[in-house]
Amino acid sequence: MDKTCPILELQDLKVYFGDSKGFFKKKDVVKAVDGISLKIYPGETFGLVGESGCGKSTTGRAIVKINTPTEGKILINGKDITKIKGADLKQFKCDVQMIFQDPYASLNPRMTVGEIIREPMDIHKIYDTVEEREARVRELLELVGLKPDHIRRYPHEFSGGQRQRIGIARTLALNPKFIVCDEPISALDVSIQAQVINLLEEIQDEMGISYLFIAHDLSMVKHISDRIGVMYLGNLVEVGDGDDVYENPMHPYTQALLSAIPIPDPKVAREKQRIVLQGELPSPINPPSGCVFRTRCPKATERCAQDKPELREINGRLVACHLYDKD
Amino acid sequence: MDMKKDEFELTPDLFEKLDESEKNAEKINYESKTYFQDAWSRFKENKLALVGLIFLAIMVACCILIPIISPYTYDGQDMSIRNAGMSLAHPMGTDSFGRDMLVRVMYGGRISLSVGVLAAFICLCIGVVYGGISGYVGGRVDMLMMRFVDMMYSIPDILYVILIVVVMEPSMFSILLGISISSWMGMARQVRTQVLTLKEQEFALAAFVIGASDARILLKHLIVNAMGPIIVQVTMLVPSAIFNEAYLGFLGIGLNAPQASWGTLANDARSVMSVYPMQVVWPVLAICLTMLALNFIGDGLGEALDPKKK
Amino acid sequence: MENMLEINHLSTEFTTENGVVKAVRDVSLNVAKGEILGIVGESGSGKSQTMYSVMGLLAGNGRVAEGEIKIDGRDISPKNYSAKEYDKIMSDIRGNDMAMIFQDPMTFLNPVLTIEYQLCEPILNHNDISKAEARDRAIQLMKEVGIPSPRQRIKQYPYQFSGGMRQRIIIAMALACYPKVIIADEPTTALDVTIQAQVLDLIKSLKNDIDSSVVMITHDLGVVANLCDRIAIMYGGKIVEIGTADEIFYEPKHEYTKGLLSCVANPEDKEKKELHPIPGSPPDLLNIGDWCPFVDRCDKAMKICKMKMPPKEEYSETHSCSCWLSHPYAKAQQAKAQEGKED
Repeated sequence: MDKTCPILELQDLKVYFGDSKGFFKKKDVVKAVDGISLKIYPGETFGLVGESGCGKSTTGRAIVKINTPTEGKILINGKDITKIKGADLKQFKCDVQMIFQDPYASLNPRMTVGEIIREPMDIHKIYDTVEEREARVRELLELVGLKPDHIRRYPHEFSGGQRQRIGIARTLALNPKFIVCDEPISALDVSIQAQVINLLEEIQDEMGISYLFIAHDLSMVKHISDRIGVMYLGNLVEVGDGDDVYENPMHPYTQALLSAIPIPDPKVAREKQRIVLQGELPSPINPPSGCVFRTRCPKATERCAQDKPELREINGRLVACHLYDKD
Repeated sequence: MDMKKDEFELTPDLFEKLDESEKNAEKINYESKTYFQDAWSRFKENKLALVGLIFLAIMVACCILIPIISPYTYDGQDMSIRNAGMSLAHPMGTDSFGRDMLVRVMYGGRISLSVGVLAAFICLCIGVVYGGISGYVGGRVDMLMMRFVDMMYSIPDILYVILIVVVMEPSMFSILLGISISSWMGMARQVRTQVLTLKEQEFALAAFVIGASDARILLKHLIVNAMGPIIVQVTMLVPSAIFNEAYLGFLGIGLNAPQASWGTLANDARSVMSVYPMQVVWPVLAICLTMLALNFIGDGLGEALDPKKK
Repeated sequence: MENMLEINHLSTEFTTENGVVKAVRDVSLNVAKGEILGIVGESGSGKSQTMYSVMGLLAGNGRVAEGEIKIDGRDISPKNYSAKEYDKIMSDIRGNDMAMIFQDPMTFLNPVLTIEYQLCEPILNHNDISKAEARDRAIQLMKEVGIPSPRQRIKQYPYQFSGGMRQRIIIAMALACYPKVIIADEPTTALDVTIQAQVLDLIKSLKNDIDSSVVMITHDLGVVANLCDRIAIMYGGKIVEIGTADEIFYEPKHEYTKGLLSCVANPEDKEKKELHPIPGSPPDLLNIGDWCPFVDRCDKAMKICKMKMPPKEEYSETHSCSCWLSHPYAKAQQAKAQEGKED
C-alpha cells in the first residue's frame, strides 16, 4: 500500500443542514458532520461505523457531492473537489462512485438492466457504439455473477442480492478508483450478504479499487476493512487498524459499541460482559459542549464538558478522548 | 402417511448427486413484463374502464368516418327538410337549416375531442416543465413558482377563458389558449409533488453520482417514474377541457357558425328546444357519454398504474 | 415441562394474482413455559407468517389452510370455529394471553393518542379495574421497561419518544396483562446496536420476572445466540432444523444451517475467516414443489432431494432435522463416490 499519497483526504469536513435562512423564520442548524479529517490510501478499505444519525452516511454523500460541505476540503488524489467544474468534474464522476443501501430503490424501475448498466457509459461517451457498450455490459454482468442474457429484464424481476449486484455492475462501468459503499448489505438477507462482501473483495483484488465502507453492522465491517473509523454525533472518535480497534478499543464509545455486538456463538455470548450505555443520542441540532460523548460516557469528568478533545495519535491509533492525555 | 410412502420406493441410485444443471438457483420465474404490459393486464380487469375505452374508440372512429362517408356535409343546408325528425336518411334528424344532425354532431365531436386532447396535451407540456423545474430545483425557486401557481388558482378560471376568447376573437386557437392557461396548474402541482419525492430516491442519486446532467435526471429518471399519476391527470384534463369548451359554446362565445362543437350545437338548438327537444338531446348525450367514458378510463388507469393506491 | 404454545402441522396460504403462495408448510413446534424460542430465517422463509397465523393477524388474502394451534391447552385453531367465534376468541386472547412486539413501533402506536391512553386501553379491556388503577399500572410498566420519569412522559405522544424508547413502550404494552406468550417479530432490527443491547437485556430480564414464554422471530444469528434457549431454523416455509442453541451452533445438521453459520462474520475471531456464502437466491414460494426447499442452493443435493420431502430425523430429545443426507443410502453413495475418486 502506498502510504505516501492518499487517494482520499478529508480536511476538517463539516456538513450542516437547514442553515439557509427561510423567508419567515430561521431554521435550526443540524450539524450532521462536524469537522472530521481522515485519509484513505489506494487499494485500502476504510470502514466507517457508528449508529444512525452519527453522520457516517452524510460523510459518504459529501464525498460524491450529493451533499455540499459547509466547510472543509475533500481531496481526491490531492485535488480539492468541492469546487471543481467542467472536465475536472467529469473526470471526478468517473473516478469516484457509490454503491447504495437499498437495492429496491437504487435501480430505476422503468429501465432494463442493460440500460441501467450502460447509462454511465452513455453519459461519459465511453466506447463509440452502442454494441461495444452492450458487450461491456455483458462482461460486467458476468463479473458480478449474473447471466448476460438478463440484459433485457427489468429490476423488479430480480431478488435483493441480484439487484445489489446489478448496482455494483453499474458503478464498475466507469472503472472507478474509489467507491463509497453506503451500507451496501444492510438491506440483504444474511446468506446473501456474504455473496456481496465476497464480490466486493474480489473486485478490489482485481482492480485495486479503494473503498469507504459505511455500515452499522460491525462484524461485517471488521471483516472487510483494513482500517476503521468510529463516528459519534458528527465526530470521528477513534481511527485505527481494524483488528487492533476490535481487540483493544480505546475510546469509551468504541468500547461500548463493540461490547454491544451480538456474537453468533452462544457460549461466548453467555460469558460476555456488556457495557450498556445509558441514555439516548443527543440531538445534533444542539450537541453537548466539550466532548460530544460525555453525556453518556461512564468515565466522563468535568474537563470533558469544557474542552473538546482533538483526534490525536496514541500508540499508533487516533483517539479523541481526554482519558489518554499525558498531563 | 403410509399411502404416500408407497408412491415409490427409495433406491440407492436416488441418492446420487444432483446435477448442477438441474438446480435453478439463479432462475427467474416471472415472465418479463414491462410496466405498461403489467398495467394493461390490470386495466383489463376493470370492466367499466374497458367499456369506457371501447365506447371512446367507437366515438372517435365515428367522428372521423361519418362526416367523410355521409352524403351530407356539416354546412350543407336543405331548407326543404328543416327540423325533420328521425328517419333512415337522417338518423338524428335535421336542424333548423335542414342540416343533417348526425353529421353535425360527429363533426362537432371532432372539434370537441380535439380541443380536449390538445388542451390536455398543452397542459401536460407546461405542467411537466413547470412542475419538474419547481420540484427539481427546490428551495426558493420552488417557493416562488408555487406561489405563482397559487395566484393563478385564486382567479376563477372561466374568467380568463372568457377574457382571452373575447379579446382574441373566438377561434380554435383562442379557445385552446384560454382553456390551457386556466388548467395547467393542477398538472404542475402533481408533477412537482412526484418529482419532490422521487428525487430523494436512491436511483435518482445514483444517476447524479454517475454524472447524469440535470435534464437527463429530470426526464429519464424522475418524469418517467411519475408517468402513472401524470397519465391519470391527463385523462382527467381531457373531459374538463371538453366541458369548458362546451360551456363557452353554450354561452355563445364559442366557434363561429357554420363550424360547430357539441357546445355550440346545444346552443344553436336552444331557441327551438321546446318544439324540437331532440336537437338539444343529441349533442348533450354525446358530451355526457364521452365524459362518463373518459372518467371511467381515468379511474381504471389510476388503479392500473398505481396498484398501491387501492 | 408444560407447553404454553403448541402448533401442529400448520399450513398457511396466500392467494395472489399469480397464484397461491404457500408461505407456511406443515410447521409443528411447541414452546414450553418460561422458554425463549428463536425462529431464524430469511425474508420469505415464513417465520413471521407462522406467528401471524397463530395471532390471527394474517393479511386479507391469507388463510390458515390446515393445522392446530393451542395456547396453554386452549384450542385456537381457526378451522375449529366459525369466523365470528374465532374473532371473539382471538380478541380476548390477544393482548391478554398472547402479546406481540413489532419491528417498527411507529406502525403499532397511534400517533394522535397519548401513551397513557394507549397503555391503559389493553389493561382496561382485559381487567376489571378503575381508570386510576390502570394508570398506576401503566406508570409501573413504564418504570419496569426503563423509561425515565414515567409520570411526566405518560402524557406525551409517540413522536416525542426516540426509536429505542418507542420500542420500550411497545414492550410495556405487550406486558400490560402479563401474557403467557410474547411474540417478538424482529424487535431490534430497526434499532442501533447499543440500543439493541439495551432492549435484548430488557426482554431477558422481563422474561425472568413474569415467567412468560417468548417467541423471538429474527434473521440475526447474533441475537438468537445471546437470547434463546431453543432455535428453529426456517427455510422456504418449513422448519428444516430445530434444537437447543448449543446444538444448532455447535452441531448443525442441515446444510442450510451450516451455510448460514459459515456466512456470518464473527468479530471475536482473531484470524480473518473466509466467508462462504450460500449461492443463489431464496426460493419462490409461488407453486413451490413438494420437495426439499433448499435443493437448488445445496452443495450436496441428491436426486431424491428434488423428488420427495425429507423425513424428520431426531438426533436428541430436542434436536431434529429434515434432510435426506442422514439416510443410510446417502452415506453409502458418498462412500462409493469417494472410492470412485480414489481409483
